[in-house]
Amino acid sequence: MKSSQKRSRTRDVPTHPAVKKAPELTGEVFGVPGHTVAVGRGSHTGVVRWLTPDREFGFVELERGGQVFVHTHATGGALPKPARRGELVRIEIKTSKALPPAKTILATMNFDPVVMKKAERTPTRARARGAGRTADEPDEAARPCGRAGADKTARDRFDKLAKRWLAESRHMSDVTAMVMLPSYQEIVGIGPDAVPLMLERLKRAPEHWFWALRAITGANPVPDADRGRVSAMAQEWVNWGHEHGVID
Amino acid sequence: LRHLLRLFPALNPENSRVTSPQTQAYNCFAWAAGDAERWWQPDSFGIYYWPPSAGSDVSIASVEAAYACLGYSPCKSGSLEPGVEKIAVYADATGRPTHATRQLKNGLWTSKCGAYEDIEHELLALSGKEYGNVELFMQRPRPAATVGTG
Repeated sequence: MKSSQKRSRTRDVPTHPAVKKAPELTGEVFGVPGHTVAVGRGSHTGVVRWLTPDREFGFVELERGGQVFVHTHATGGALPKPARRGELVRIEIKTSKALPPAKTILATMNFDPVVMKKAERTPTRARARGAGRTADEPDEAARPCGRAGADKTARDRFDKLAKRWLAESRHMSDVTAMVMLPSYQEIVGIGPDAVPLMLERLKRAPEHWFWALRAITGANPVPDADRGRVSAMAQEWVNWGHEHGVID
Repeated sequence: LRHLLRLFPALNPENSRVTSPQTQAYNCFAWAAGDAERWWQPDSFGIYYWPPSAGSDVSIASVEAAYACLGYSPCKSGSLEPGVEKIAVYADATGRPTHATRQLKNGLWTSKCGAYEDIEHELLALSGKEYGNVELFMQRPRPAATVGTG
């Protein structure tokens, strides 16, 4: 859907008094290069594209176009329960600080339950891909993935980002810092279409795509006994890809 | 070693040497713990290995708790002491742990630098922009054998 159409559907959504009572949360918002926005201070409204099962982070597709990455890792909190995929959230950007990684912006999020109901009828890019669930469906369910044979443009973009991320992160030991690098977050932002591309790389080498795979698919095929055993984790994800028809 | 020299200005061929091939199989936190088969990482997704009682947040406290599970306790310095095995934990300016290294019998330190090689080095050679500075020393009686004891 064109952003102008999207705007016309959501611009007239009223602000409800409940928004003042809605839970507030300090988190971080990343602009995602590529499909994105220079997120300025002030109020932004957008549809939750998806959230991780533990509601630690997710993507919000902004009404004005583009999307932002929202996470609460820095504060150790979780996104409020009302926030589910397909729901509309209001993001109040309060401050912008040059925290590592670059482009991190401290934000406060407000969730308006009345606006959310309208948002449920608002098609998002994720739904257009067939990934849509209603707001009542659990986030914990495994999410659909792209299939092998992604178009050349998507593959080229992924390969370029993967190369950059591997170069930037190779000396790092803290995976949570590695996955917060903008190049990795942009790959996560590709969403289901990135899944077969990551699995194909895992067939060749045990790289740290597990966090992105877990976030995008909602699955976790690695048994506890293999946690941290990178080659075994890679093989289990490849097996998962075969079983779900994501890769050949 | 050239790629590491670019990242760590204090590192040089006189105070360090490569002691293993590159591998993704384990990281510095694992290597300092004597584990060359797993990637140690606290994470709320439960993807990587981390001692279950050590918490899931990336903090000095969590790292300290993880190594406490192996019998380490905090100590004041990284000076070489007979019969004592020490580890040092680096943190960035925000206090977030970035790296851990283990002292060898010869007084030098052994580090796994992310997915790069293991190196033997002087303690301060890895201080700087990438790993920050040492924020925690821990020690335990030196066991009969630890991976990479040199």
